[in-house]
This record gives sequence, C-alpha cells and structure tokens, in this order.
Amino acid sequence: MLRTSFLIVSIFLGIKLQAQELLKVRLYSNQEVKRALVTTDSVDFVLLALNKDQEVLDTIHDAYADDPARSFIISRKGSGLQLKKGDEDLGVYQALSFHGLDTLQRFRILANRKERAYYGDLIFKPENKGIYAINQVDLELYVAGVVESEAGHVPELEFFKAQAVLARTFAIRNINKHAKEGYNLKDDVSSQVYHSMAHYTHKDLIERAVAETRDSIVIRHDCRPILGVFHANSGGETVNSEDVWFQSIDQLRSIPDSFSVGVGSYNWEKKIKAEKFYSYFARMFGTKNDLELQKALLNLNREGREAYFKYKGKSLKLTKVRSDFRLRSTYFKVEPEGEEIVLKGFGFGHGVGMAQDGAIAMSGKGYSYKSILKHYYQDIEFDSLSGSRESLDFKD
Amino acid sequence: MKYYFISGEASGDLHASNLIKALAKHDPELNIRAWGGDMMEEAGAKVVKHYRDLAFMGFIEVLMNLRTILANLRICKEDILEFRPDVLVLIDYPGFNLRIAEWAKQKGIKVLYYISPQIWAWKQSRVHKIKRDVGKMLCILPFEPSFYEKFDHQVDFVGHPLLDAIAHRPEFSEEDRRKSYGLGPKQRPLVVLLPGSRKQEIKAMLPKMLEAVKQRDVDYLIAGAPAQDLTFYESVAGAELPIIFGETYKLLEISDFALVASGTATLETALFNVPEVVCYQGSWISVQIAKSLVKIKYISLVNLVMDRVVVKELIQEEFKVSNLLRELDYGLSAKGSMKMKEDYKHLKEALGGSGASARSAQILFDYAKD
Repeated sequence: MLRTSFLIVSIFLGIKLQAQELLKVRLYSNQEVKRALVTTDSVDFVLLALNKDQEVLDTIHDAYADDPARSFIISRKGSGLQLKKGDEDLGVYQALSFHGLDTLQRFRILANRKERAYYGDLIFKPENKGIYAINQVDLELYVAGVVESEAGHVPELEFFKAQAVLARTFAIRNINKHAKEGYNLKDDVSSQVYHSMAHYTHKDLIERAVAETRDSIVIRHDCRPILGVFHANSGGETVNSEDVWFQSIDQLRSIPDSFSVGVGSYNWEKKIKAEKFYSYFARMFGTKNDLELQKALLNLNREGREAYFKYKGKSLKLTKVRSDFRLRSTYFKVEPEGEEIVLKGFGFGHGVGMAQDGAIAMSGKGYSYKSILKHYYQDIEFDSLSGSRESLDFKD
Repeated sequence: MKYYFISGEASGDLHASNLIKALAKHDPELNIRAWGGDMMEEAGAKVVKHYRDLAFMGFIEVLMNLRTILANLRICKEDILEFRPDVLVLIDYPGFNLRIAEWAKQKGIKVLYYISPQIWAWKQSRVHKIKRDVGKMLCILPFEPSFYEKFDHQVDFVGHPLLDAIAHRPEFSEEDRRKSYGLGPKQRPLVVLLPGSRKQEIKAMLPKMLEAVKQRDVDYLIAGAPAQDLTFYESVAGAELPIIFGETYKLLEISDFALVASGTATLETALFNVPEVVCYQGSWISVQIAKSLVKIKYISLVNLVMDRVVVKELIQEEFKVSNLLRELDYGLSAKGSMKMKEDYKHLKEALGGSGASARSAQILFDYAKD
C-alpha cells in the first residue's frame, strides 16, 4: 500500500514538479485555420499580447476559471488577429498567448469543426491568410498526448513506456526543425500525431509510463538521438531502413521478430484480378506477361521477406508495389485462384524499427521497455535529458 | 521583528549573511530563524536546517529523494507557522522557495524574495506565480525590472550582492598566497581555469583549456568544483594537476587571465577585474534544447548586463584551442587587458555599485513594519 501511494505521489509530482514550457507544437498543422474558439479550463489564464517574435508586450485580459463565459474567438483581421469574448471586441493584435497561471493548465480549442483538449499554453499568430495555433507544452505532457494518439489502444505498461521513450526521442531529435516558423513540431504524421493530451483512452497507464521513463531517450554511440521509427506489425521479420527509404541506418537493421507472429494485424489478404496484377509487372519490367513472369511472381517471398522482386537481371522495389496496389505491407505471397490472384500478406506498415504488435506481445510476456527497444533497434544506449536541462541554468 | 530566512545553496548563504548584517543596523530587535548555512549562523541567524541536507538538483535525484523533499517542505511549513515571522525572506533557490511562497501567501504571511529567479532566460511562466505569491521581489540584474513590467509587475532593483561580497574581502599578501599554491615569486602571468562544476562540462572543456595554456609561457591553476573530487579531474586530464578546490575567489584575486565556463563564474571573474574568455561546450542534445528554449543574446551575464560583447564567448565549434590561444594572447596584452578592465568599470556601475545588501535591508525592514 505504501509503495502504491508513493508511486501515485511520484507520478503526480513528477509532472507537477517539472512542468515548464519546453515545446511549441503547431496544432491543426495539416489544414488551414481561419478562426478558432478557445475555452480555458482548470486554472486562471491571462491573455498576453505578443509581437511577431512571440515576445510579450502586454497583459490584455484575465480569464478566471470560475467565469462561465471564458470562451474567446480568434480570427484574422487584416495582417493581425482579432480577439473577441462573446460580442465584446478585445482588440487586434500581432500575436496572442493564452497563458495558464498554474501547472497542469488545460484548454479546449475548436477549429475546422474539430474540438481538441490540451495541457499547456496556447499561442496564436497570423500566417499567410490564416492563423497558426501553437500549443506550448511541457515535453512530458506532450509525450503522453503522442502516446495516446499513436499507440493508446492496448493497455500494456512496458509497451507504453517504449512508445513514450520513442516519442520523446523524436521530439528532441527534431526540436529545431521548424524553429524559423516559430514552433518546434507539427501535430500530424509529418512529426508525430498529437491530437489531444492523454485524455480519452488508458490515460492513467499512459501517464504512469511517461512518468516512469521521464527524461529518458534512446541515443546512438555518438550520443545523438536515434531515428525511432515504428510500424504496426513486422509480419515476423523487420526491414532494413534502406529498403524503404534511401539511407542505411545502423540502428534500423532487419531482424527476425517472432513476437509479431500471430498477433494484432499479422495477416492480411487481398484479391486482385490476375490479368491486372501480372500485366502491371510486365509493364514495369518492359517484358511480356508470360508464364515465366507469373511463375517468378508465385515464388516471391517464399524464402523469407524480400525487399525487391528480381526478374531477368532487373529489380523492382516492393515498396513501389505496395504503394501502387495499396497493400498493408511489402511482405506477401502470391497464390492463383481462378481468374484472380490472392495476396497472402504478413505485417502492417513499412516494417522498419519497432513493431507495435510485437512490442505489445513482449510487454505482455514480461519484457521491460528497454528489452523491447533493444530488440527492435540495434546498438542503442539510453540517456537522460535531466543533465541537459540542468545545464540551462545560468547559475553554477 | 521576526524574520524567517530560507536559502538552499552556498551562494544564498553568503548573500543572506550580508543581508542579515545590514538588517541588524536597522532593526535592534532582530530575531532570525533560518534554513541556510554557516555564514548566516555567524551573522546572527538561528539556523535550524543546513543547506547541505537540501541540495537535490537533477530530476532523477529529485525523484529518488522525493520523500525527503516532501518531508522538508512539510517540516519547513510547520516550523514557519510555529515561529510566526513578520516576514518570510526567500533567497534564490526557486524550485523550493516558490513552492513555499505559494503556501505562505495562502497563510497570509508576508513574502520577500531576494535574488529573482532568472525567468528572463527560460521558464518565463513563473512570472505569474511570482506576481501572485511574492509581496516584494528584489532583483539583482539591471534589466530584470523591465522584464517584469511587461507582465504588469513592479519589482525593485537593488544591485548585485556579489559587489558587496567582493568589496568585503580581507587583505592578503600575493606572495604568500602564491606560495600556498606552490608558486614561486611572480615571473610570468598567472592564468586560472574555471571549467565549470558539472562532470560533462569539465570533460568537454578542461582538456582543451589545458592544451591551450601549455602552449604559452604562463603559470596556470585550475579552480576545482567542490562537487567533484580529484580522481575525477585526473581521469579527465591526467595526474599531477595544479588544482585548488573551493578557493575560486582567492585564485581570481591573484590571476591575470581566466578561461571560464559559462555560469555565474563569468560575472565573478569580471568583478575581480580579471580579463577572461567565456567557454561553452555541451552535448549535441543540450545545445539543441538550449537553442530552442533560451531566449537571450549572450550566454555570459557580463555581456547580457552590458548588452554588448565585453568578453568573448567561445561556444560549441568556436571553442577550440586556436581560438583560446588568440583570446589568451589578447587578454594578456596591455591593450586587451586595459580594454576589458575599462569595460568592467562600466559593468560595476550598471550592476548598481556596492550596497545591494544595505538597500535590500532597508526595503525589507520597511516591508516588515508596513
């Protein structure tokens, strides 16, 4: 009992003790926002006027937690942003910030008919014809939101921990990617999906996983964060990075992965008209659609996962086939069935790095998150960000 | 009047002790109970908890010592309530002190905060908590009041207490001090190396600093950080190092030039009139985080206060032996040395001159009576 209560206190304080502004994540980043409705929750907020460089100019308004009318509308007006509270016009500004006066501040934002909830502060600035909405949030709270968005479906603690470490690693690796645009990361797949704070599914377990791996990231031997890509299911064998993208990366080597076998999205099937399928390959290879080609295709992937279909001295990347036929993976066998062929496939996703289904299975079998990550990524080490944060203090 | 002081570090102990001495001149019925150190005790405070038992810095340490920290917070609050001070005086140490301030405000206890957290650099959000919980904020850097003004908060600039600390240094004989460090009569310039206090920084910087000074006809000494032991320094830079622990000010008093890792030491070096070059080399990750977070033009307080380059900053790839040698040659030349010392005079003026403790004591006493 004592241990449990200590843990709960640690998790709570873990977030509360260190809550600090760290990341700026652009919300609705794959769409244009023209207007947004913001409702502050949980604590008092102040609205600050900012200049174009997001420096504070002045305090404009207080939004008290107990005010039932604490909703604000932000829209473009000329080159600036108009701020309204109901019908009341609060002025036009170069940029704005909703700034919470206590830790674990929350707000809801409604834009393009989608409402989302986040921890942290919210900044608005005009951009092209629309508005950038930027969530300024503690790294750990962001990580919890990403874990829920990217992996929140199966409640396995060590799996959540592995995802948390990968999400944190990604964030640090890309922290200055969008610096010129005034934020760090986007909220869509081009960065990591972050469609909410950890809120909807398995919130408690995700927050525990984040707290217990706090500040931990995965690094290479030269102390830089790894490229921690992952996918749903490897089909029993992961893929070398260069077989999907161009670059060969030491940490992303193909490995046998029995943990993905028979679980989650391990199997798939797709029927395609035989004529369409074979003639596609004939066209790609500039050859005839004949028995020799068909026989070669029936042998594809029989000896294990392959990256290319090789025929008469030429080769075609299977990622191209996957994209053209919209297949779940590049790992499939071809079987004829009357006028159709059946693709009997294994795995889901690009196959590089960690397989989520396999990681879930490992977690269920009692493997730690470190063992999971060491299984899927080669030659890695773990590092803590606490030293890096500490060295930001100007005092010695 | 009754005052409850809380400081959690060696530097806080020093500045609080000077404040207490100055306060004694205003308040004949001074009664101070404190969390602090030996210097505060000597100045007249009854110290009930020593800062040595408080210092948990990194997050991992914080987590591992969570029970101690929670207990400390609880003990501290109970002790304050029992003592019933007229004013609670918090000195620096924001992680702990801002938490105590929040609680004290709720209990209706007056809070004066001496040495503002450096919120202009990062963690700006703390400004609102300060506004809510701290009755009087005393700043020691001249640009801090204008930062607070943006958030509609009035604070007092009292000047930098290091100037007082340095003004009150005892007399010494240079020859004796050199002798105590194993140096003979002065024949060549003395260069002091201050490679920081954290392991990673020392590892990254000390070897290059040594490589540079060994290429010039100078004597050199290393200022060792009390937190690290000799074996660590030797593992980084080899045996038989001329290293002196815990005597940075004494070293600066007899030095002609300093190679300094970024931190408060850059300011201390300037206040001791020692020409310097500021160095920083951190890990790739630290630098990326710093780039994304820190909102300032310079890394040294000297340049930040003057808002121009007074001392050269060699950061990351700029931090290399050839550049160190260039700055060393310049700083030891008559022209370079004079220029920097001239600039340091303006720096001291900008920092408010000496008297920070006296000004702070006056404000504190008035606030207590109020």
